[in-house]
Amino acid sequence: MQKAIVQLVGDLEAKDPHIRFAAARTLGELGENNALAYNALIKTLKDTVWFVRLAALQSLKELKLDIPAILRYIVPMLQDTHEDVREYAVLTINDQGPEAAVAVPFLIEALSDSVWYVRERVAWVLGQIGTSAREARSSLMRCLTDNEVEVRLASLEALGSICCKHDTEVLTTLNAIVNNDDQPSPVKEKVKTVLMRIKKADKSQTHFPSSRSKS
Amino acid sequence: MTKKILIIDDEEDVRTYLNSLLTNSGYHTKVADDGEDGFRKLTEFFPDLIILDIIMPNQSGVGFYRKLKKSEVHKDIPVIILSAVTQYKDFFAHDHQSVPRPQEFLEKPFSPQELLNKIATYIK
Repeated sequence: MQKAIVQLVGDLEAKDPHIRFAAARTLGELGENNALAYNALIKTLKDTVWFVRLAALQSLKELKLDIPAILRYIVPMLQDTHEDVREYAVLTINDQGPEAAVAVPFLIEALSDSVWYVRERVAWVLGQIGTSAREARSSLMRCLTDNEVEVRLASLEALGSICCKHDTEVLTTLNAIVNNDDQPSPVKEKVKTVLMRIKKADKSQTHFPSSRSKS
Repeated sequence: MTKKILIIDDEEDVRTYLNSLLTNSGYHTKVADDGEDGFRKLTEFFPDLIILDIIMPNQSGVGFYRKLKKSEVHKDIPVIILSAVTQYKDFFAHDHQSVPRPQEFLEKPFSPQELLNKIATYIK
């Protein structure tokens, strides 16, 4: 196995990006988290071609990363030039479960991503983090006027997971949306569901939503 | 009436192969080499089904798919994802999203008969 890994690591330097891409993916599929493969994949996160960076990221996600590695190597990828890489970085952060809370400040920044489906994904992950993402409340409320309905819906879902009945500012904002004729009916319906959820739940002791689904 | 299929793939060999396979099977086809080209062809061709690669220069298959599903005119066109990278399913794997998942995923290399069977499921 070591021989194959050495060969694949060598292929990560190939001129043809498709070979680098295949090598990066195969290293992940081998599932061997040894130092040589790991370090080579980390280095490949800076490849000049986006789909090679993405392949390295996908493989590292499979090999599992610890929190220091997430902060050092994955969080910077939230600024990648390609939206698929940014979105996958968000998914990789989400894999950390409750510990993903350390990335909340960076996820809040990513709520301003230029691509709507990255913003939607970020909002969703903040909701998955739950009450540990409370500092995202204001930014998520700003997303309720996002141009894209999908982002508004994901932000509402997140607020439902993060907020409690004592978050009066959030409740006031949500109640205003129900009466706002500029908001489409799916958003208004979602607000009603979220309001009920917030009013019912006592999240004072909860630090992670029980319905969390792993990516 | 002949059914129309739009093939979006950056690899010329794959485009040529699919084009030949589908034309010989009685479909009318058009090819595009990335997501941006795909969207241009989509509006002029209005296909009954789209075969979509994922890893392509410029706009990827993920970007194309999300844009497609937001288009009131084109959102109901069925999509078969044809990719060598199964991890791409991760992008579509969450039911939280308002964007529905693609109809089918097929891994490269694929069986031509399997592809034709899947196409027949969506356009008769």
